Amino acid sequence: MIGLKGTLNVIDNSGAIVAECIRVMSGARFARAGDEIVCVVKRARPINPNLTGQAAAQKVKKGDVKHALVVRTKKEMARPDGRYIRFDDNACILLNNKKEPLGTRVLGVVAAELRQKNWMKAVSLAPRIV
Amino acid sequence: MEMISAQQIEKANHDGRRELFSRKNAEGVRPGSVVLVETFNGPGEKTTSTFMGVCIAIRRKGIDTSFTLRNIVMRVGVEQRFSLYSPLVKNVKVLQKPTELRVRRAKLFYLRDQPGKAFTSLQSLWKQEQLEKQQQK
Repeated sequence: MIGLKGTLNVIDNSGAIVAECIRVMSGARFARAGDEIVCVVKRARPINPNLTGQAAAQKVKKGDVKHALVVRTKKEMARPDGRYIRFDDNACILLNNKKEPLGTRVLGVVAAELRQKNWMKAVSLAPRIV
Repeated sequence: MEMISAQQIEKANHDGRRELFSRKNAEGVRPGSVVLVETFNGPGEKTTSTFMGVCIAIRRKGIDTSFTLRNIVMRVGVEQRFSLYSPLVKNVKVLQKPTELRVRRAKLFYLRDQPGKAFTSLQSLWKQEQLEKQQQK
Protein backbone atom coordinates (compact mmCIF):
# COMPACT_ATOMS: atom_id res chain seq x y z
CA MET A 1 0.00 0.00 0.00
CA ILE A 2 2.23 2.76 -1.29
CA GLY A 3 0.70 6.21 -1.37
CA LEU A 4 1.90 9.78 -1.49
CA LYS A 5 5.15 10.17 0.47
CA GLY A 6 5.61 6.41 0.71
CA THR A 7 9.27 5.42 0.61
CA LEU A 8 10.55 2.43 -1.27
CA ASN A 9 13.90 0.77 -1.69
CA VAL A 10 15.07 0.67 -5.29
CA ILE A 11 16.34 -2.80 -6.06
CA ASP A 12 17.79 -2.46 -9.52
CA ASN A 13 21.21 -1.24 -10.61
CA SER A 14 20.06 2.18 -11.84
CA GLY A 15 21.97 3.92 -9.05
CA ALA A 16 19.03 5.02 -6.92
CA ILE A 17 18.75 3.69 -3.40
CA VAL A 18 15.57 5.19 -1.94
CA ALA A 19 12.62 6.60 -3.84
CA GLU A 20 9.57 8.45 -2.60
CA CYS A 21 6.20 8.02 -4.28
CA ILE A 22 4.51 11.16 -5.49
CA ARG A 23 1.72 9.75 -7.59
CA VAL A 24 0.00 6.43 -8.17
CA MET A 25 -0.58 6.12 -11.91
CA SER A 26 -3.78 4.11 -11.80
CA GLY A 27 -5.61 6.95 -10.08
CA ALA A 28 -6.16 4.95 -6.90
CA ARG A 29 -5.03 6.18 -3.52
CA PHE A 30 -2.53 3.38 -2.96
CA ALA A 31 -0.33 1.21 -5.11
CA ARG A 32 0.19 -2.50 -4.60
CA ALA A 33 2.80 -4.78 -6.15
CA GLY A 34 2.54 -4.63 -9.91
CA ASP A 35 1.31 -1.03 -10.00
CA GLU A 36 3.11 1.84 -11.64
CA ILE A 37 3.97 4.95 -9.65
CA VAL A 38 5.81 8.20 -10.21
CA CYS A 39 8.58 8.72 -7.71
CA VAL A 40 11.40 11.03 -6.75
CA VAL A 41 14.85 9.64 -6.11
CA LYS A 42 15.71 10.60 -2.55
CA ARG A 43 19.08 8.91 -2.27
CA ALA A 44 21.33 7.69 -5.02
CA ARG A 45 24.71 6.10 -5.34
CA PRO A 46 27.45 8.60 -6.19
CA ILE A 47 28.19 8.56 -9.89
CA ASN A 48 31.82 7.81 -10.60
CA PRO A 49 33.25 10.85 -12.46
CA ASN A 50 35.60 8.55 -14.39
CA LEU A 51 32.63 6.87 -15.98
CA THR A 52 31.74 8.67 -19.16
CA GLY A 53 29.24 8.53 -21.94
CA GLN A 54 26.48 6.01 -22.09
CA ALA A 55 27.12 4.28 -18.78
CA ALA A 56 26.99 7.54 -16.86
CA ALA A 57 23.86 8.72 -18.66
CA GLN A 58 21.90 5.69 -17.46
CA LYS A 59 22.55 6.25 -13.77
CA VAL A 60 20.03 8.39 -11.93
CA LYS A 61 20.82 11.23 -9.58
CA LYS A 62 19.14 12.42 -6.46
CA GLY A 63 16.08 14.50 -7.29
CA ASP A 64 15.24 12.76 -10.56
CA VAL A 65 11.55 12.16 -11.15
CA LYS A 66 10.98 8.74 -12.67
CA HIS A 67 8.26 6.21 -13.18
CA ALA A 68 8.66 3.06 -11.14
CA LEU A 69 7.07 -0.31 -10.67
CA VAL A 70 6.26 -1.50 -7.17
CA VAL A 71 7.58 -5.04 -6.67
CA ARG A 72 7.26 -5.69 -2.92
CA THR A 73 4.99 -4.24 -0.26
CA LYS A 74 4.98 -4.54 3.46
CA LYS A 75 1.18 -4.54 3.48
CA GLU A 76 -0.13 -8.03 2.79
CA MET A 77 -1.55 -8.67 -0.66
CA ALA A 78 -4.31 -11.14 -1.36
CA ARG A 79 -3.71 -13.75 -4.01
CA PRO A 80 -6.72 -15.02 -5.96
CA ASP A 81 -6.56 -18.39 -4.22
CA GLY A 82 -7.00 -16.88 -0.77
CA ARG A 83 -3.35 -16.75 0.22
CA TYR A 84 -1.86 -13.57 1.62
CA ILE A 85 1.74 -12.57 1.09
CA ARG A 86 3.72 -9.90 2.84
CA PHE A 87 7.32 -8.78 2.53
CA ASP A 88 9.47 -7.02 5.09
CA ASP A 89 9.97 -3.87 3.06
CA ASN A 90 8.62 -1.82 0.16
CA ALA A 91 10.64 -2.06 -3.04
CA CYS A 92 10.42 -0.82 -6.60
CA ILE A 93 12.35 -0.81 -9.85
CA LEU A 94 12.66 2.31 -11.98
CA LEU A 95 11.12 2.44 -15.44
CA ASN A 96 11.89 4.50 -18.50
CA ASN A 97 9.43 6.26 -20.83
CA LYS A 98 8.64 3.03 -22.62
CA LYS A 99 7.62 1.22 -19.41
CA GLU A 100 10.74 -0.90 -19.49
CA PRO A 101 13.10 -1.37 -16.55
CA LEU A 102 15.76 1.31 -16.45
CA GLY A 103 18.42 -0.85 -14.86
CA THR A 104 19.76 -4.04 -16.30
CA ARG A 105 19.58 -6.18 -13.20
CA VAL A 106 17.12 -6.67 -10.39
CA LEU A 107 18.59 -7.55 -7.01
CA GLY A 108 16.23 -9.37 -4.70
CA VAL A 109 12.95 -11.23 -4.61
CA VAL A 110 9.84 -9.82 -6.30
CA ALA A 111 6.16 -10.62 -5.98
CA ALA A 112 4.39 -12.85 -8.48
CA GLU A 113 1.80 -10.13 -9.03
CA LEU A 114 4.12 -8.74 -11.70
CA ARG A 115 3.45 -11.72 -13.89
CA GLN A 116 -0.28 -11.38 -13.46
CA LYS A 117 -0.15 -7.75 -14.47
CA ASN A 118 2.01 -8.45 -17.49
CA TRP A 119 5.33 -6.88 -16.54
CA MET A 120 7.20 -9.56 -18.40
CA LYS A 121 10.49 -7.73 -18.81
CA ALA A 122 10.76 -7.12 -15.08
CA VAL A 123 9.82 -10.73 -14.38
CA SER A 124 12.57 -11.99 -16.69
CA LEU A 125 15.18 -9.91 -14.86
CA ALA A 126 14.10 -10.99 -11.40
CA PRO A 127 16.34 -13.56 -9.70
CA ARG A 128 13.54 -14.93 -7.55
CA ILE A 129 9.76 -14.64 -7.63
CA VAL A 130 7.58 -15.60 -4.70
CA MET B 1 -23.98 -23.89 13.09
CA GLU B 2 -21.39 -26.07 14.69
CA MET B 3 -22.75 -29.07 12.86
CA ILE B 4 -22.53 -27.27 9.55
CA SER B 5 -18.97 -26.22 10.28
CA ALA B 6 -18.05 -29.77 11.28
CA GLN B 7 -19.62 -31.13 8.09
CA GLN B 8 -17.68 -28.64 5.97
CA ILE B 9 -14.44 -29.61 7.67
CA GLU B 10 -15.17 -33.31 7.15
CA LYS B 11 -15.63 -32.69 3.45
CA ALA B 12 -12.49 -30.57 3.14
CA ASN B 13 -10.36 -32.88 5.25
CA HIS B 14 -9.67 -35.40 2.51
CA ASP B 15 -6.00 -35.96 3.30
CA GLY B 16 -5.89 -35.71 7.05
CA ARG B 17 -4.78 -32.13 7.39
CA ARG B 18 -7.11 -31.54 10.30
CA GLU B 19 -5.06 -33.99 12.35
CA LEU B 20 -1.89 -32.08 11.54
CA PHE B 21 -3.28 -29.00 13.23
CA SER B 22 -4.94 -30.68 16.16
CA ARG B 23 -3.71 -29.41 19.50
CA LYS B 24 -3.25 -32.95 20.79
CA ASN B 25 -0.97 -34.08 17.97
CA ALA B 26 2.65 -34.04 19.09
CA GLU B 27 3.84 -34.43 15.50
CA GLY B 28 1.55 -31.72 14.27
CA VAL B 29 2.08 -28.13 13.28
CA ARG B 30 2.71 -25.81 16.19
CA PRO B 31 4.05 -22.25 16.38
CA GLY B 32 7.77 -22.55 15.76
CA SER B 33 7.72 -25.68 13.63
CA VAL B 34 9.20 -25.59 10.14
CA VAL B 35 6.49 -26.37 7.61
CA LEU B 36 6.53 -26.98 3.87
CA VAL B 37 3.39 -26.22 1.84
CA GLU B 38 2.77 -27.24 -1.75
CA THR B 39 0.05 -25.34 -3.58
CA PHE B 40 -1.42 -25.78 -7.02
CA ASN B 41 -0.79 -22.80 -9.26
CA GLY B 42 -4.41 -22.41 -10.29
CA PRO B 43 -7.85 -24.00 -9.81
CA GLY B 44 -7.43 -26.57 -12.60
CA GLU B 45 -3.68 -26.84 -12.84
CA LYS B 46 -1.46 -29.67 -11.74
CA THR B 47 1.75 -27.67 -11.44
CA THR B 48 2.74 -26.78 -7.90
CA SER B 49 4.82 -24.22 -6.13
CA THR B 50 6.32 -24.81 -2.69
CA PHE B 51 6.90 -22.50 0.20
CA MET B 52 8.77 -23.41 3.35
CA GLY B 53 8.94 -21.43 6.52
CA VAL B 54 8.60 -21.20 10.26
CA CYS B 55 4.99 -21.23 11.41
CA ILE B 56 4.52 -18.00 13.35
CA ALA B 57 0.76 -17.99 13.79
CA ILE B 58 -2.13 -20.43 13.68
CA ARG B 59 -5.63 -18.99 13.55
CA ARG B 60 -8.16 -21.62 14.50
CA LYS B 61 -11.63 -20.79 13.21
CA GLY B 62 -13.07 -24.11 12.07
CA ILE B 63 -13.22 -24.13 8.29
CA ASP B 64 -11.39 -20.80 8.11
CA THR B 65 -8.36 -22.09 9.94
CA SER B 66 -5.24 -20.48 8.54
CA PHE B 67 -1.56 -20.42 9.40
CA THR B 68 1.26 -18.03 8.58
CA LEU B 69 4.72 -19.11 7.51
CA ARG B 70 7.73 -16.84 7.59
CA ASN B 71 10.96 -17.30 5.70
CA ILE B 72 13.92 -15.18 4.65
CA VAL B 73 14.25 -15.20 0.86
CA MET B 74 17.31 -13.42 -0.55
CA ARG B 75 17.72 -11.42 2.67
CA VAL B 76 14.12 -10.19 2.62
CA GLY B 77 11.57 -11.61 5.03
CA VAL B 78 8.52 -13.07 3.33
CA GLU B 79 5.35 -14.16 5.11
CA GLN B 80 2.56 -16.14 3.55
CA ARG B 81 -0.79 -16.94 5.06
CA PHE B 82 -2.42 -20.18 3.87
CA SER B 83 -5.97 -21.36 4.42
CA LEU B 84 -5.74 -24.90 5.70
CA TYR B 85 -8.81 -26.30 3.97
CA SER B 86 -8.28 -24.57 0.64
CA PRO B 87 -8.51 -27.03 -2.27
CA LEU B 88 -5.47 -25.34 -3.78
CA VAL B 89 -3.25 -26.46 -0.94
CA LYS B 90 -1.86 -29.77 -2.10
CA ASN B 91 -0.11 -30.89 1.05
CA VAL B 92 1.31 -29.58 4.27
CA LYS B 93 4.36 -31.23 5.76
CA VAL B 94 6.18 -30.64 9.01
CA LEU B 95 9.94 -30.62 8.47
CA GLN B 96 11.10 -29.84 11.97
CA LYS B 97 9.38 -29.78 15.32
CA PRO B 98 9.71 -26.66 17.44
CA THR B 99 11.98 -28.22 20.08
CA GLU B 100 15.03 -26.47 18.65
CA LEU B 101 13.36 -23.11 18.85
CA ARG B 102 12.05 -23.13 22.43
CA VAL B 103 9.02 -20.95 21.82
CA ARG B 104 6.89 -19.86 24.72
CA ARG B 105 4.22 -17.98 22.75
CA ALA B 106 1.34 -18.85 20.47
CA LYS B 107 2.06 -16.04 18.04
CA LEU B 108 5.69 -15.47 17.15
CA PHE B 109 5.45 -11.99 15.68
CA TYR B 110 8.54 -11.00 17.67
CA LEU B 111 10.57 -12.99 15.12
CA ARG B 112 10.06 -10.12 12.69
CA ASP B 113 12.37 -7.93 14.80
CA GLN B 114 14.48 -10.48 16.66
CA PRO B 115 14.94 -13.52 14.48
CA GLY B 116 17.82 -14.91 16.53
CA LYS B 117 18.69 -18.34 15.21
CA ALA B 118 15.18 -19.16 14.06
CA PHE B 119 15.90 -19.14 10.33
CA THR B 120 19.40 -20.58 10.21
CA SER B 121 18.34 -24.18 9.77
CA LEU B 122 15.93 -23.51 6.92
CA GLN B 123 18.56 -23.63 4.18
CA SER B 124 19.79 -27.09 5.15
CA LEU B 125 16.25 -28.38 5.58
CA TRP B 126 15.40 -27.14 2.11
CA LYS B 127 18.41 -28.95 0.62
CA GLN B 128 17.46 -32.11 2.49
CA GLU B 129 13.95 -31.84 1.12
CA GLN B 130 15.25 -31.40 -2.45
CA LEU B 131 17.46 -34.47 -2.04
CA GLU B 132 14.54 -36.55 -0.83
CA LYS B 133 12.48 -35.41 -3.76
CA GLN B 134 15.23 -36.37 -6.18
CA GLN B 135 15.54 -39.78 -4.58
CA GLN B 136 11.82 -40.30 -4.82
CA LYS B 137 11.90 -39.60 -8.52
